[in-house]
Amino acid sequence: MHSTIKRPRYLSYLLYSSLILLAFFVLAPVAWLLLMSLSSPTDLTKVPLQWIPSQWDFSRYAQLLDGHNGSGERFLAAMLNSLIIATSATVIALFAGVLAAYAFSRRNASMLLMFAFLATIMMPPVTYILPLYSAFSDLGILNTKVALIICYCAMLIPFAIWLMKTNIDVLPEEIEQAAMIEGAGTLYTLRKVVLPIILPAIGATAMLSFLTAWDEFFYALIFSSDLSAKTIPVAIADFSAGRVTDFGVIASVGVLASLPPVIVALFFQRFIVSGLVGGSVKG
Amino acid sequence: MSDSNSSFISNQVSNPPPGQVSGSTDASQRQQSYNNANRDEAILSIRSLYKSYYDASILQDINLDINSGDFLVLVGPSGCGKSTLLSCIGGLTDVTSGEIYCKGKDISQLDPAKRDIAMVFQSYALFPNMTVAQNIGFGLEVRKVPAAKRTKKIQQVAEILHLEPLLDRTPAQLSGGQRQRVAMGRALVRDPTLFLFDEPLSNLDAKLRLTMRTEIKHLHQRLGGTMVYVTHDQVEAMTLASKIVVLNQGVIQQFGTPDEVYKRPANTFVAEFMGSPAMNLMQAKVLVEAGDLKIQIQREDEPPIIFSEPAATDALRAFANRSVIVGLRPESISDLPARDPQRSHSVDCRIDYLEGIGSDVYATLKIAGGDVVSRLHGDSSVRAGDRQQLHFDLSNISYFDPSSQLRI
Repeated sequence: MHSTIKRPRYLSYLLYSSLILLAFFVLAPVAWLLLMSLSSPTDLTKVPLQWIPSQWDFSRYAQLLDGHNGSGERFLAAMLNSLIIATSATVIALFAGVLAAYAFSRRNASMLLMFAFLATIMMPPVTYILPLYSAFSDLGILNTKVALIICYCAMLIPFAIWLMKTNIDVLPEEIEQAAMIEGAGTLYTLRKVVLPIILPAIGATAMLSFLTAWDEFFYALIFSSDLSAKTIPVAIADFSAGRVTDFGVIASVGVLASLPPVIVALFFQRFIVSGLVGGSVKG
Repeated sequence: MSDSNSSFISNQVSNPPPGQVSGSTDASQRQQSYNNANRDEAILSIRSLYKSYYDASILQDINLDINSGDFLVLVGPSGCGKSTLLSCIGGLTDVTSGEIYCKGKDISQLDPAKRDIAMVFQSYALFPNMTVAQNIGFGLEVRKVPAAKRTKKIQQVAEILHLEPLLDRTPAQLSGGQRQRVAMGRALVRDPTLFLFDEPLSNLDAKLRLTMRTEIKHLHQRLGGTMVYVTHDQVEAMTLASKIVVLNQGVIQQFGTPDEVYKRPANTFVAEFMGSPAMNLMQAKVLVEAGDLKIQIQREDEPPIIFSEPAATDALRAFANRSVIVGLRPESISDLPARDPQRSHSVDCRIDYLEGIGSDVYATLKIAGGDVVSRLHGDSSVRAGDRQQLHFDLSNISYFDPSSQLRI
């Protein structure tokens, strides 16, 4: 809505210049990534740097999206791994998170337990690497997607519980009581009453969880060794680890790898609207 | 009452011993009435219900029976435990001890979903993600009532509550009164054993509250149904109830019909709580002159008010030459003569100040060191400071024991 509040002109200038500065900070690296991915290797190594490519070079994208050559195969496999792992971890984390959050918020589950959950994500991941490695090794699931899904669930669940709990806490409890009096059990109430109301929060949690899992590098690096489990951050690192580093290829991988999170964000953005609770209780 | 007197009274009433609160005569009756035969007949029976949170005792020794078709109103000041009691009946709050019988079956440990009870919440508690029709039909959907039958019942209820044009809207698109109606529709559609109302009108504006009050009364008369209704508004209690429970600090002060509670309050708390303006309480002395009982009320700088009490009970006679508290409603002190001339006593009084409300004029005067409110006719031309002949109608006079605050 258009604001009718009058503010001094200098304040407007200040606001807009801050905005432009912020936009530059956020967008410049992305723009540079995009330019790099489309520049020819000669332009990228020229001194002084050729900022605007002399010719647009789409060959790397073609190469990466073609599964029949080496780098394309590596890239597409990593993309698929990342998609499977991040999606599974997000879905499991949300499912467990919502139920646990409801228990903490409405069924007097011990807060001590919740702080214990939260404490686990306060620790640096490196502390878990050794025990996890030997455990996964004993289970024979090193270098599998399952191992990474387990790791990411452990990371995401406490975070999801915490986010969902704060959102359930603020719901008027009478709505659930009304459902129970009407004869609904806990699961029915959750499914038909609570979940639809906290859908925006679920959307936000899903988005953040997916991004966290998608971007995770450390566990993925340690627990995966070939195409069966390697995720996209590890794949990007691999591309830069060769003898001759083609910055253009790395940039192209970067651009393509950031597409799924962007699509997820655009999709969930629709859910993240406030005011869904309006009208249920007298405000 | 003067400040010192009212604080004295409230101190005394604050913790009356359980079991004695309804007066010595009522207490023995109550003991008899709460037997098992009643419990099986009544729709709702509560037996020695206690509720406490940690050290705080919220409800103490609650006992009551209501029959099919009764409209029970729980009334009391904020924090008296009336909503907690309702919540215990609905199963949303666990009881500490005691039983709640619904149709003779103990439901105190039963899940709220299995109690066959409907509840209208103070905040309406509508489901924001559903339409009005879905809100009303929720309980039926839970019970897997076929869609066709569901739609028919929703239509019927919508018709009763004038909600037909609103069925496809969501709660956010409704006004306060409409939401209130939807909440009632959700309760009505299932035809439960018991309806619970938790201050359903307190969020509405004054005019709508009156309309909805009348509507609830009509609904009850039309559809029958047994209702338990919580309110802090004693006018709502008087108009709606077939039985009233007055609660204070978790203890039932009185359980009776609106008429009993209004005309024969069990103690000074009920006397002051029910009725607006409150019942006047005056310190008085019981005198015996030639076998006749006379009541003497002292006034400052003026001759005392003395009237005889021909209908004195033995209990009152026992207070001979001792102090009592006399209770008279404002409408019993009027510029118009009492209906029964035998029970009328005229006194010349000085009016301290006046409050006109159109239909009546409330005149405040000083008697026995405290403010006493009298209700004059709306056309009264008396002015503050004037002297006026007032008629004390003694037919509904109440006497209270100053030490126990209980009715004599």
